Amino acid sequence: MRDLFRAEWLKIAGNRWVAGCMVWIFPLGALAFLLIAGVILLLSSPARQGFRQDEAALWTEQAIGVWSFPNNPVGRLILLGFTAVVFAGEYQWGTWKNIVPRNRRFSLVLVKFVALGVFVVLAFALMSVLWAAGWGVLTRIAGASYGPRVTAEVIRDFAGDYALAASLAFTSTIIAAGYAALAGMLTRSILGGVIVGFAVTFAENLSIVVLLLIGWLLDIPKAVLAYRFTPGYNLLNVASWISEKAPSVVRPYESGTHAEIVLSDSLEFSVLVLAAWVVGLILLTGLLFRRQDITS
Amino acid sequence: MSQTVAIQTRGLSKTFGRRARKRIQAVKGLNLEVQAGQVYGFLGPNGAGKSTTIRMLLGLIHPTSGDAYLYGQHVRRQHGVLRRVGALVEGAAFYPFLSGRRNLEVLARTANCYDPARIEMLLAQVGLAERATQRVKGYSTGMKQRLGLAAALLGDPDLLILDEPTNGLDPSGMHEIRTFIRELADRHGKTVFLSSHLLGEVEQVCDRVAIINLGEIVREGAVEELLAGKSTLRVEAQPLQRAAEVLRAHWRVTVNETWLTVSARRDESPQVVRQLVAAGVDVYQVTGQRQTLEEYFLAVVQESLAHA
Repeated sequence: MRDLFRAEWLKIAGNRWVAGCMVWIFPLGALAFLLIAGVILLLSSPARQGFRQDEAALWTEQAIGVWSFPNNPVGRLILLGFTAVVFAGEYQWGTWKNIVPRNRRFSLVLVKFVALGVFVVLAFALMSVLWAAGWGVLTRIAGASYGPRVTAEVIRDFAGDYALAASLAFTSTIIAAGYAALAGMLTRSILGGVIVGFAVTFAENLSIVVLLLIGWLLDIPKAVLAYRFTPGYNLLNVASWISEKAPSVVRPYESGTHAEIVLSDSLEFSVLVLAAWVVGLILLTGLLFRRQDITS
Repeated sequence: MSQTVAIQTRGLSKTFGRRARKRIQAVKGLNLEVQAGQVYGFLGPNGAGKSTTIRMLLGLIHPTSGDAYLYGQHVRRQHGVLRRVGALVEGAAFYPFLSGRRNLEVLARTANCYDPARIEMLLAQVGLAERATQRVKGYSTGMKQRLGLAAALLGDPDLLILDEPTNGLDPSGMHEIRTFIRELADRHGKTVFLSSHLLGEVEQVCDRVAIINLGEIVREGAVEELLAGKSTLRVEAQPLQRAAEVLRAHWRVTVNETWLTVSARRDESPQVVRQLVAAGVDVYQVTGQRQTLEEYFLAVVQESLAHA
């Protein structure tokens, strides 16, 4: 399995153009932003003053905040594209015929998920280090303080939250990968994988509106609770537990008595649902691939 | 020669398409047996079912019915047997963004048989050692084909399944590959299952051949056996029409521009000459001609089409 992982890693990292534009763009973009901001702060006194007033932050928040990128729509779309290349690229290059006889189909699929998840997590780990350190430099240039002070307790709390945030990003990547992999395998095309994968993600986000409408039209207010089984909600819920130490709240209305809905107040429930999605998507992809004829 | 059966298929069939109107039966109840140590030619016109059969042997396509066995093990149920197989299927395809060497490393690691020394040896053997660091997207068709052969040999397989291995190669490259294939069988005891459109090539390297058309095997046997008794005589005589009339009483005769093709064996040539001389025909030359595999193949395919 280690050799198989290494083979997949060589393919992912070796596709430099795709890995550069879809994964390394995150840490490189962060670095570019920090450099530009640093130059502006060095040259402009009002900018330094503004930074001291508005942008002063904790290094722990900066390091952890980076991990929310895979969950936001742009980050997800980019990662969907990356996954589609990893899975559907094999059809486009005609390379499945080389590798399928060399190992079990399910292992080939499983290792793709793991390798691309680890690859993305590594890129974001690098980004979080760059971002937290870079923000410290900006803070120093602006003459602000950059807490909290490093103590055993701070490190312990930070390590727990950081691991949870990284796991969440990994899970989010695997779920996006699951959508794109299924779509890529069904359409046997990179573009098809991206379009269908994005459509599924979009439909998943839109499902809360549909559920609210169903609840309102059929007078079944509890219909909206079905949304708590979607990966999107549970990713938000876990993220909320990490940052706010409280469950995620859905706000379908601007105001009123039903303005806020708590779909699930349990972190454990969300973790369980996400785990079910990850396992389910990997199994489904593996099953689909096992039955598929490789004709290209 | 070992009597181990390297490839065996029993009633192997494949139908593509679910709707009745779009359904295509690519392979129909194929029964095939290839003994280990042979170079076996698998011939057929385009769309005959060669590639579908090869893909079923490699577990790439699931048969609609029937079974495929390699070294007595079921291809789908005992995937491990495919580790004994190296294949080049329908034109070599690689990761275009990786170098030739890196591509081989990826394939070797996928099969858990990574050995850097073997990769270097194979790159040298197929003449790509100097270009091994270049990305595959810059390779010519012939270079990709050579890399494909190296990839097929990565795990030192007992059985090589080669689909059009000389595609894109120049004549000297084709000769090299032919010699190489023959050596694999003769010196190293490997079994080679070779699909090719170049019938001259097949005739030179194969021990046995199967001809497939419309998804069915229409002929199978040793090359020598298939072509035996299919020899003809080329007769140059004057007047040509009179010569044809005389010989038609005994043999099948085809009149060409300046000569006759007579379906007679070489040992019948004195009798042919005597008949012609007795009829007052001047005989200039009589030469024996063995039917080529190409001629045989075309005749068999036409015959099978006529019966279809």
